[in-house]
Amino acid sequence: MAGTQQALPLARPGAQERSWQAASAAVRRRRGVVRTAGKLALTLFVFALSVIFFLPFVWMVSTSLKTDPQVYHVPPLWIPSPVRWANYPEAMTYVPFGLYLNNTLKYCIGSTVGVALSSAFVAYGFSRVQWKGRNTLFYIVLGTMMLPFQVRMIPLYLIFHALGWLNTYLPLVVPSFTGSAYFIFLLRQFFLTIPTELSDAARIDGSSEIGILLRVIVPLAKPALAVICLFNFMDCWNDYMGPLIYLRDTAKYPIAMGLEQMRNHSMSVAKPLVWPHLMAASAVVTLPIVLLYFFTQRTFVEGITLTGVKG
Amino acid sequence: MVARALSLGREGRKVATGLFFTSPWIVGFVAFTIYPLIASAYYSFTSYDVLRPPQMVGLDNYAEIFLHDDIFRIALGNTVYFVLIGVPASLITSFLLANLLNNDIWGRSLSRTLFFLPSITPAVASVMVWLWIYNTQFGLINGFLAGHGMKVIPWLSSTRLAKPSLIIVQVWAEGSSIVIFLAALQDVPRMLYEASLVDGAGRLRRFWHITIPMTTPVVLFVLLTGLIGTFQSFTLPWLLTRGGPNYATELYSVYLYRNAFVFFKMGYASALAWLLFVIIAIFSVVVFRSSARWVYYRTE
Amino acid sequence: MRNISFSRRRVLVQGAMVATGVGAAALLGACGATPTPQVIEKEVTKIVEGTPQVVKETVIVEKQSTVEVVKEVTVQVQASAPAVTTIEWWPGWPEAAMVAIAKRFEEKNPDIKVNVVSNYPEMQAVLAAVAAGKPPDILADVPYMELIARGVILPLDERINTSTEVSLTDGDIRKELWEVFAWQGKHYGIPSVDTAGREGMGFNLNVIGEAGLDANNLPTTWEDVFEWHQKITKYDSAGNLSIIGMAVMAERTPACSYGDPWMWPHMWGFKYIENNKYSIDRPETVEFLNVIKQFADSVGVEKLDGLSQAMQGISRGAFGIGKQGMQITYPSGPAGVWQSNPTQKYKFTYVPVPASRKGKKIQTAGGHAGMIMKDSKNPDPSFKLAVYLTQKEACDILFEAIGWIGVRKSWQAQVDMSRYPSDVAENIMFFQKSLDEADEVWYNNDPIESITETEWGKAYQGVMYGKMTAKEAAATMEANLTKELQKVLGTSG
Repeated sequence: MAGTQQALPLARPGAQERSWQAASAAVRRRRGVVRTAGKLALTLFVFALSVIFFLPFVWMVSTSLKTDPQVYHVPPLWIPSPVRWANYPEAMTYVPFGLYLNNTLKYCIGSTVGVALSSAFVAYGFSRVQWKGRNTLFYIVLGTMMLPFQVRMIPLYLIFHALGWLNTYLPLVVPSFTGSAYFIFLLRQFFLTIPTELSDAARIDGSSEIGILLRVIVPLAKPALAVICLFNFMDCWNDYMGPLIYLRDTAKYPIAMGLEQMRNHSMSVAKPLVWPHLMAASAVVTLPIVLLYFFTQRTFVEGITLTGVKG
Repeated sequence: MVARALSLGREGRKVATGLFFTSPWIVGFVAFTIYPLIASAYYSFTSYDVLRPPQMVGLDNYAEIFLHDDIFRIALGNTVYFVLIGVPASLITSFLLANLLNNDIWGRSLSRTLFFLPSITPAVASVMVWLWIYNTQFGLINGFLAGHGMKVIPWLSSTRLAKPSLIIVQVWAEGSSIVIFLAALQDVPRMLYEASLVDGAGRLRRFWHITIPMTTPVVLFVLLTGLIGTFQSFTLPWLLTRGGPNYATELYSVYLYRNAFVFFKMGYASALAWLLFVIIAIFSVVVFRSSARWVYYRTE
Repeated sequence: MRNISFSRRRVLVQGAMVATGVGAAALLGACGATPTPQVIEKEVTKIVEGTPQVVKETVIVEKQSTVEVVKEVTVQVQASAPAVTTIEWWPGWPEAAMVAIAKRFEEKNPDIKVNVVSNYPEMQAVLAAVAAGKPPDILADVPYMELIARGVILPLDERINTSTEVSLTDGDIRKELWEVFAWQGKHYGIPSVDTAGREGMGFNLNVIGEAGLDANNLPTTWEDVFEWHQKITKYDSAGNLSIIGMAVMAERTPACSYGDPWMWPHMWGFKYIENNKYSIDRPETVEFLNVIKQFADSVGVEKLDGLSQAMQGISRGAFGIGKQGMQITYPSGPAGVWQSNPTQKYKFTYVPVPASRKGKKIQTAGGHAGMIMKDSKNPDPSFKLAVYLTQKEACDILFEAIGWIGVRKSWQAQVDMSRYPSDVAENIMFFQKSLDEADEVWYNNDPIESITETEWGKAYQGVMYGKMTAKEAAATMEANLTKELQKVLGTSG
C-alpha cells in the first residue's frame, strides 16, 4: 500500500475539520442506547428476510437427509426422522467425486488467476488513461457480450480444434488470460470511482503507468478484484457447457459434469438415483464455494475506504 | 520509452499506452472472438445443419423470422416482459438488500452469506429445489395450502403465473449483484455521511443524496449487464419449464437454442442471434446515453 | 495396465523365425564340416502361454560332426504392443452399465479398446464434433432419423448381410425393429438397447379398485377410458385435484414442450408420414386432438399441467405413486412403478383405440441402436461393438444393472425374471410380446423428428389451452412440417 497519499479532495481545511469531528462524536454518543436497540431490531429484520433466500437451500439439505418416500410427503417434512446421514457417503459413490474435485481445482485456479490479471490490466486502459478511441473500443468490448453463446459455440470449438486443444483444459483456461468483457466492465467502473488526483500525483512523482496500476489502483480496488476472483472461480466451478463439449475423456471431468452424470442415473434398477442422493451431492458441490465466500468476504466487503477516516 | 522513440506526439503516446493496456483483450478478440462473430453472421444467410455444408439462402431466414414465425414474436414478447420487469426488480432488490446488509448488525458475515447462497448453488440444484417449492401437489407452498383446505396455486402450470414465478427465482438468485453493491458501498467516503449527520440529515436523505449518487457507476454496471444477461436468459427457463406452459416462458434464447441444437437449423438460429444482438445493442445504447445524466464519476 | 490375455493370439512370427534360423545354421554348417563344436546362436520368437510377454529364445547349437546339440537359453524380452484400435463410444445412459459392457467387450476383443464418453450426449457436443471432423465412432441416444436422413450415418447392409451374428431375416431381432432405423431401403442401425414395443396402457389396480371399477373388464376404447377417468377423478374440499383418472399428456414432463406424435395416429390407424409426405390435416387428427381436449377440459388444463409438473423426477409421476389411475407409458414403466411403489399393483396392456376401431390391438416399434458415423475411421470394430450389444453377455449386464430387456427373442426366452414378482415380469414382457401378438405394428421414419415433436407440442397445447381449434392445429402442423421437410430434403445441404 505504499505511496497512497492521504489526498482528500472533499476534505474541509483545518480547524473546521476538528470542530466538525467533535460534533459528530457527540451525535454518536447521544444515540448510544437507542443504537443498541436499533441494532437488535435490524438484526432480527435482516435474518427474517434472509429466510426467503436460504429457505430453498435448507430444503435442499433437508431433502438430502430423507429417505426417498419421505420426499413426497404431504404436508412437506422439514426435519426428517430419522436423519439419514448415510445419504452423503452414498451419494459420493455414483461418480468419482474425488477425482472430479481435483480436476476442477486444477483449471479453476488457473482461470481465476488469468482473469484477475488480465481484466485489471485491460480495465486500467479503459479508465485511467485518456486516449482517443478508448470509448469506441470499449463499446466493442461490451458488444461482445451481446451475441448469444449458442451461435458462437461451434465456430469457437473449431478454433480450439485447429489449435489442437480439444480434450484438454486449455480452452477453459487460456481465454481467461485475455480478459473477460464482464469483469473488464466491472473493474472499469470501480477504477473510475478513484479520483484522478491520485494518479496524477503518482505521475508527477515519476511513476510509470504500470507502477500506478500496481501501487495506486490495485490496492484501492481490492474489493472489486476479490469480487471478480470469487465470481470467476464460482463460474468455473459450476461450468458444465464448456467441459461438455471440450472434454472427451471421462477421467478429466469436473464436478459440474459429475452432477449431470448423476442426474442421468435415474433409470438404474440396481442403484436407482433417489432425490435425497442428488440433493446430498448438490449440497456437497455447493459447500466449497459457500466456505470460500464466507472466509473471503472480509476482503471485498470490509475493504479499504478511500478516505481512511473511519467513524 | 518506445513511444518516444517512435516520435509520436503526446496524443499518440497516450494511444500507444491505451493500446498497450488493452492489448490482452485485443489479442483475445482476434484469436477467439472475431471468427465466431464473422462465421455466425455468414451462417445467418445460409441454411446450415452443421452436419452438411451450408447452403446460401440470402435473406430468407430474416424474411421468415419477420413474416412467418409466430414463435419468434411470442419469444421476443416474453423476453421483453422479462427484461422490463425482471431487471429493475433485481436491481432495486439487490441494491436495497446490499444497503441493509451494510449496517452494523450482529452476525453480519453470516447474514451476507445467507443472501449470497442462492447465487452459488449450481443451477441444476436450484432448479430442482424450486420445482419442489412450486410443486402443486406436495411442494413447500402448495403442500401447506392444500393441507389447510385451500386452493393450490399453479405457479408453473398457469400461463399467467409462469413468467412471474420465473422472475421470482431470478431475483432470488441475484446474490452476485448484492455482493457487487456491497463492494461499491465500501467506497463511498465515510466522511460524507458524517458530515451530513452533523447537518442533521436523516437516513433517507443520506441514502438519496450520498449513497445513490456515489454508487451510480456500479449501478450502471449492474443495470447494463443485467439487461444484456436477461435478454439472453436461457438456463432458468430451459431447466425449470422448458419454455412452457404453452410457450408462456419460451424466452428468446430458449427458442434460439431449439433452432440451433434441436431442429438442426443453425443458419436460422444465427439470424435470430444477430437480431437479438441488434435489439440488445439498441437498449444498451439508450441506457448508456442516459447514463451521462445520472452517473457520477469522480474522475471527471 | 490392461490385462491382455494372450492365449488367443495367433503368432505367425514364430514359425518364420525358426525357419530362417534353421536355414542360416544349415548354411553355416554346410560351409565346411569341422570337427570342432560350433556355437551358433539363433533367435526364436515364441509365445509362452499364460505370460503377457513375447519370449525371445537364444538357441545354441553345438555341432559336433553331424550331431547337433541344441541348448536353449531363454531370454525374456518385453513384448511390443499388439496393434490396438481405439474406438470412441458415446452410448448415452445408463453410464455404469455401458462402461461394464465396454470392459467385457474389450476382454473378448483384445485388439479393440473402447473409450466410453458419457456426455449424455448433448447435441451441442455431437454437432461440434462432427463439424470439427472428429466425431465419435459409434453413438446412441440421439435423434436417429435426423442424422440418418442428413447422411452422416454409415449404412450397414453389407456388413449385416455378411455377418454370421446378426440377420435381417431370421426374426431373432424382429423385422419392425430393423425398420425403425431404415431409410430409403438401407439399414443404419442394429437395434439394441431398450428397443421394444414403445407404448403400453397401464392401470393402477388399487386405484381402479377403489373407484369400484372392474379390473377384469379393462376399457379398450377412448370413450370407455374417459368414462373410467371421470369415475376415478376426485377432488379435495378446496377443489384441488387429489386423484386423477388419466392425464393423457403427462408422460412427458414438463408437460408442455413435447409429446409422442406417433402414438395417436397409430391408434386411429394411419401413418402421419409416409414416403416423405405428411398426412396430418385429416379428420382422424381432429378427432384425437379433441379427445385430448376432452380430458383436459374435464379437469381444467392448469390443474392437469400442474400435476405433470409436480411429478417431475418421480418415476412415472403421479401414476407411480398411486395418484393416477391410468397412463400410457414406456417399456421401462412397469419396473419403474414397481420401484416407486411396491405395494401397488399394475396391469399393462394395449393402448386404447377409437370406438370405430374397437378390438384392434396396436403397438409401435422403437428404441435405440448403436449408430456408426460415416466418417468413423474404425467402422469394423464399431460394427463388432454394435453387434455385441445385441448378444447375451451385454444384455445380461444391462438387465442386471437396470432391468432393461435385451432385443433378441432368443434372449427373452431364457431371461430369468425371478427378481420381479410375476405380475411385474408379465407387464415388462408385454412390451416385447405385443410386437408378436398385436394386430398392427407401426413404426415411423421422420427426417425432421425433432421439429415434428415441437409442432405436435404446439398443436396439442394450442388445442388444450383453447387457443385454436383442432382443425386449425392439424392444418397448421401439416403445413409447417411440409415446409420444413422441403427445406431439409429439397436442398442438398
